[in-house]
Amino acid sequence: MEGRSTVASEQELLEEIRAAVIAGDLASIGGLTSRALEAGLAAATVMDDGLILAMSVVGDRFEKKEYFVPEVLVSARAMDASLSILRPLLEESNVEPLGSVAIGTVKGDLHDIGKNVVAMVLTGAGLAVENLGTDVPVSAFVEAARAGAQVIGMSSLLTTTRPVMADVVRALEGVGLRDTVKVVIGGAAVTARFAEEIGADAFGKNATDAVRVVKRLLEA
Amino acid sequence: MALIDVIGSVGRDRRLRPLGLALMPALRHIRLSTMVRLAGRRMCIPSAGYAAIALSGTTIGENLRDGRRMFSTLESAISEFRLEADGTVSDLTIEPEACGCPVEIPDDSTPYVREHPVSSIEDVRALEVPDPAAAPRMRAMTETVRLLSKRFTLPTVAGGSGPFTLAAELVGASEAALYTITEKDLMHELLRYCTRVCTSYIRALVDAGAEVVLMGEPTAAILSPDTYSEFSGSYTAEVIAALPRPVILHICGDAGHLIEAMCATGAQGLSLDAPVDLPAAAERVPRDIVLVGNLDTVSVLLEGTPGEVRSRTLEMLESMRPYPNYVASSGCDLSYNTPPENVVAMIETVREFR
Repeated sequence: MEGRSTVASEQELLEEIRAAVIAGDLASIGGLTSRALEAGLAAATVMDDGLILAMSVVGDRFEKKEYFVPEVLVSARAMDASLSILRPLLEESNVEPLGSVAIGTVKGDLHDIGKNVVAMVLTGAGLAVENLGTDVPVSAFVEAARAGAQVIGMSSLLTTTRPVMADVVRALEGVGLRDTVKVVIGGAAVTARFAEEIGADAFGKNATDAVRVVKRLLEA
Repeated sequence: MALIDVIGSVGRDRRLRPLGLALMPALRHIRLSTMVRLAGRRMCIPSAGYAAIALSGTTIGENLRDGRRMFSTLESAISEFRLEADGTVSDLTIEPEACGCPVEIPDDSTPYVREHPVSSIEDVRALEVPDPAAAPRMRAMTETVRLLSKRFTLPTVAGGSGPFTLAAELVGASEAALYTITEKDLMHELLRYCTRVCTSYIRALVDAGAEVVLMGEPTAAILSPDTYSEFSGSYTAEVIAALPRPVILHICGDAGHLIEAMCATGAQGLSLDAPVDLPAAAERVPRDIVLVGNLDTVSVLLEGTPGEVRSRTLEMLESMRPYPNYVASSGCDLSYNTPPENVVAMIETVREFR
């Protein structure tokens, strides 16, 4: 009996964690995460069955237009708060992320929202995401690839900054890293046609599409 | 000859200015939707300001800092493309700069706000409403509008920023989105300020001769319908109510979910971007509100050939045939790098369509 009630409360805690992330409840997520760990749940379980499941619900709602950017941002903030508790434990137990992505808005462009939403949804899908920020120079993308990122994600909302994406692809070729890294582009300034033209591996139409594309590329 | 072609040729011809001046007051008293219905053919108002700069051989910086230079650039484009309205270059960094944001104006790319100075309600309270006659680039744009309305008797379309978009430049876009949930008081205080700034600047443009206002509220596309109404729509409505000229409200990207809320602002026109299904939108918009759009500025106008532009323009026009309250345009501002022959292909296809 005792064992069963523990299982139930573990499930209840995970359910509460998911609910807190989906609702963007920053006030309770930290306490819930600590309680889950104290109750004996592994950090990886909290991550997989709590955060990732919750963020996939958030992603679904975003795709169905039940959630919009503000709702995704508050959910992501709650997810981040929980992750900051889990991360050291995940590192200790050598849990490998699904893959690693470095993402940024290219030089000359300071739009950050779309790129941030993509970064959050990718994190929520279990990938290790390095957010390089906005106005990111070619060298910073190359450096991220050199440091081991498996996927380079570039965003642009200004068509005049499109050439920077081509420069990054060429620079990766120049240093011999192009074959070891996948390049994905997105944002209102670019298209699948442009991705092909500059020799990127894929174009992500929106945040949920980006997750599908990145997972597909990592499996390939 | 369609009425709009008469208005266009009179409006562009210096020698016929007295006739144009006699026509303008009559046009001023009718709704945009009535004007569009009386036009005699589909109207085409491309947002071609940046493409016009590229065509002129001058830089973006030269134009955005110098009202007279921008006027010359637009004057050439209006004559070259035989435009039926004289629009300014859309520049949503003018108001943020006047409110204290540092702005970068590259020679060959769209200007952008470098830093967002507001992070607390105290910061908001310390902001002052800029004087359009004193802020250098507000003054430059006002000068452009004044010169355009002295040169042409066309409906001068002048652009201004919407309140939420200005607020998002002042606090940062991600912060603005987050604050609609976590810092509502700060956002409302900030939006009350932005409403005053937008109203005072657009009034100055109207005083200089603007006949139609194109309000750009792109950042609002990220909001849910309810959040939009609370943080953008209600403030937009205040600006519109304070203006003596019709407003076309533009939201970039996929704003399909906001159409009813946009209609509720009192805007006489909605300008929608390529991701929106325009015929479906038309079913949701009353016939006395004009829809403007929505040829894809990237995949069609920037990347396509003139032949592709023609066939996509025709598809768009056919799909909108049942709706009298429609003006053909690009979905958003044309990119600086748009091939001029593509702009011509769009305009001519619309002009010839019956």
